[in-house]
Amino acid sequence: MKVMPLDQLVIVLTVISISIGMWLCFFLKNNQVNQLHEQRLLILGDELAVNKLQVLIRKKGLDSYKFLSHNLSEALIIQPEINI
Amino acid sequence: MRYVFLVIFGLFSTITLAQANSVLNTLLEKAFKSKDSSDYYFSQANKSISTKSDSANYLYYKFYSAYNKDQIDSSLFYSERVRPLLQDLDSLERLRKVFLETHYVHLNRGNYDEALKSIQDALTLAERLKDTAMISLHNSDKAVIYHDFEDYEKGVEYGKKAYAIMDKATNKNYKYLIIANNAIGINFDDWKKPDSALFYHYKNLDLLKKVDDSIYYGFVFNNIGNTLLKEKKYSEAKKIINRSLVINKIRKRDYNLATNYTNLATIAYEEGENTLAKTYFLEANNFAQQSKSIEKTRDVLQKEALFYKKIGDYRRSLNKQEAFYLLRDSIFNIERAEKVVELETKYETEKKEKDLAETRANLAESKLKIKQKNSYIFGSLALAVLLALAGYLFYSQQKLKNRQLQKEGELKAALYKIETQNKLQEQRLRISRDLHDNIGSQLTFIISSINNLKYGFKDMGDKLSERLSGISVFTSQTIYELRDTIWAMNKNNITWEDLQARISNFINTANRAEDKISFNFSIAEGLDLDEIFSSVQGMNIYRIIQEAVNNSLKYAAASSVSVSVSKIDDTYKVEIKDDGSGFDESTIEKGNGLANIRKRAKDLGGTAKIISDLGEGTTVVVSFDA
Repeated sequence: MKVMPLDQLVIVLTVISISIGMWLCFFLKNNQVNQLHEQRLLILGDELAVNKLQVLIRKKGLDSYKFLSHNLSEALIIQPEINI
Repeated sequence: MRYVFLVIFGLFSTITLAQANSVLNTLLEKAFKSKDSSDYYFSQANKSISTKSDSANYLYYKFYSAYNKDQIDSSLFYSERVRPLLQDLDSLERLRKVFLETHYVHLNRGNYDEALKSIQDALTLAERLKDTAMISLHNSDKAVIYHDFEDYEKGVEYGKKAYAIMDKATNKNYKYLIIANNAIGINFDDWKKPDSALFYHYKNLDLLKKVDDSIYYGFVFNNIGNTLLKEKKYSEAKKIINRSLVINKIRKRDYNLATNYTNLATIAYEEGENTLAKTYFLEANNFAQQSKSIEKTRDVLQKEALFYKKIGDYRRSLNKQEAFYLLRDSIFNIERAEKVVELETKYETEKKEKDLAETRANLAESKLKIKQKNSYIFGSLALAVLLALAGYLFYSQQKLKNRQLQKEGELKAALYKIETQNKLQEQRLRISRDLHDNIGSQLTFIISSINNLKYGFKDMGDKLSERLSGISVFTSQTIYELRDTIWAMNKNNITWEDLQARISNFINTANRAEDKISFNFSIAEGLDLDEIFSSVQGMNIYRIIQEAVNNSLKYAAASSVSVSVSKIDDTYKVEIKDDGSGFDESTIEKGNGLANIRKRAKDLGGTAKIISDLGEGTTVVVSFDA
């Protein structure tokens, strides 16, 4: 079995170490980026959900309008938390 | 200030030393050149010696002075003393010269082993100094030693080596080519190969034309003459030897003159001129003694022995022969021969070991260079791999960030859209509400006022009461219309499914109110319940059905009412049918109901057909495009 010369072995080990180090750094950085992204997505998701809920409330109200009883006051639900 | 003094002191010392050196050199030069006052100058010079270099210089001059005066023992003495100093001072060129001259001393004494050792040392130094001319010369010197030792084959070998070295050199010097050819020639000559000997000697005649000082090369003519003499070409030999004699007389070369006279003596007795031969032999002996060369003295004795034998003087011949053998045996003995071989072997071994070491060093250097090159390549590859990896990782990260940004962007866009719509819808709703509250309340006030009027003025006429009731109903209707409009404005769209639910709801309410009438509501299969209408359209469809059903309930006295919705090609058909009494449109008192149905159908972009005959029931068909 042919043994690799010492200097080449050193180079190989150094490359492997640096590669692992680099991969680790990027992995941690990517994790951090992902976490921040998830947080932002959560915030956006929450805001979307709030808006969807408000739309749903409005729709429900409007759907409750009875053509026979003309209950418009019940159908038009004002949502004061919506900042126009 | 201190440094200035130091510099001045250093400068002064250097000048003083240089001056002292100069004085010593001057004295030594004078000692070397002077014949009578040499000792005086040497003693003066001895007083000026202060350094190792001075001692070496002094001894060097002493050696040369003794050598030039043929003071053999003294020259050997100083040679022994000066060599270690020159070695220590790394004065290689001077050391080489000392070895060269020492070898001549030993050669003249017939100490061939010592001569060979000295010339090998000189050769080693010449190789170190990379002096091609001296390397060639010392190989020629070795060739001469082997000639004197009668090992002619080795002599020829070294002569040819000397020639090849000088011939290949960039600084070709014909002098050393001549010397090499001469060494080969004399070896071939005594090896009894006259043709080969003459070949090399005649080559020198051509080379003589290329040198500046041909007077130095008297030995060339003598050696040619010597070979011709052995070939018994006496006349030719005599001419050429005489030419050599003239040159050697001018140069006062004792050894060569001894050779010339020996050859001339041989020619003389071969030609029968015995008296002349004796004269020549006398001269030969004189010069041989003066040259202090045992080899030459031996050579003259041998030739004399042959001469006396030839002329019949056997006693003299025997004396000469015995003297010759005595001299020869002192030179040649087994021990000396073995020592020469041993020295030669030792030198060749050392040379081979040196070459081997050099080759190994070159190989090691090449291996190291290859190893370094490999390391560079490996390192470059490793760097390339790392850069590629870094690039890939960075690219992946950027890609991830881009994907995330894109996703966030989409989400933000969706949020912005829904927020905007939400706000718009909310604003519309609030405006609608305000509108309804304001107008609705005002209309309600009108109704209330009218009712109060009716209540307040109980004795008003029927017509007025009816009129007021009509206004009240109209106003109520207006409120409902307002509410429907406001609702439709906010609702945006409605599906068939939703509409179906509302219509079903209405039908069920009507059914509960009029339980004797059977109601039927159907939507054709295949109708897409998810199809979207605007709320206004949905409202209109509903109101048409509501109006038609209410009319059936109010006026038709029907037992069954059916409502059906279908789609043929791209046309919707809403049909409200009852089995009531029917009517003649031309005869009835027209209210708003049928007009509303037609108006609403027109708003849908379609038409309304009212088919009714007395006693046949009524069918209201509303058609509009999908």
